[in-house]
Amino acid sequence: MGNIHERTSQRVFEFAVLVTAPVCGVLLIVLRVRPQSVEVVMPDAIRVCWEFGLIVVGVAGLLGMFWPGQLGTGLGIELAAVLMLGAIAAMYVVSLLVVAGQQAVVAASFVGAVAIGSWLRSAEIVRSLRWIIRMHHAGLDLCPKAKT
Amino acid sequence: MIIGQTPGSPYWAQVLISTLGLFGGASGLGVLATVAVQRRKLKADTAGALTDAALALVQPLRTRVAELENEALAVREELAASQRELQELRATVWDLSRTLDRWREAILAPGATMRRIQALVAEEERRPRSQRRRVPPDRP
Repeated sequence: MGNIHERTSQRVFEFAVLVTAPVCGVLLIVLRVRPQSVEVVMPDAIRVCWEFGLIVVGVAGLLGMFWPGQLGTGLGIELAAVLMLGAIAAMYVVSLLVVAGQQAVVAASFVGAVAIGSWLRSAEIVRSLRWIIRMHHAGLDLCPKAKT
Repeated sequence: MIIGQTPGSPYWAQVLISTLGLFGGASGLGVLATVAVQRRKLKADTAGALTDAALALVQPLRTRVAELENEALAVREELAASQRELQELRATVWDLSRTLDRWREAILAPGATMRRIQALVAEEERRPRSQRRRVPPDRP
């Protein structure tokens, strides 16, 4: 169902972020890097979840983007991934702002843009899913309108 | 959730981060679960629709379409035959009117004699019809 260009031409930014996230997570874990902001603000358990979350989110997002089966399933997986990505990015923004304050304006802005973009994208996906379900039931009203 | 007091970080930041993490994890898992459930439902619905309702709906339509197609073909053939016939008739009319014109000319010619006219008509009769016929114009 479409090659890589068709799949990503409408959402290159999302694609880039989703590719970067797992790379970042793997680097954090493999190199045992602990950014000061993350180290200071997040408790250990949350920090570990956060690092693995980066990897999971990236992999899941790409999986959803290139899902070979039904379009709706792929979109659902992608929706879960971008929701989590938004949360992860927002967590990092909070810790950045707490630790570095005004010094973190640039970093926080860009990472915050990732968070906002992810949530906007998830709203868009929800709309698409609604539309898909409506199309499935158009004419044949076999079951009540499904909730996404 | 898990909020250990780390020195040097305000409490609200940890709460905020924990809330965000909780929200992200819960929403992600919730969406995945919903998608898994909905997918099965959706698939079942489409399959059911295709097997029962859609087929029952489509079958008579398909028969009707085949009927109409045959009918359309027959009508088209008929139309072609009629057009051919019309063309032939038009050619004949054109041919006859030309013959009439020629004879009238011969009759009304200033030095017309009975013998000349008879000769003309006899010659016309001898000539085969196909030779006389020319391609008629579309409109007579």
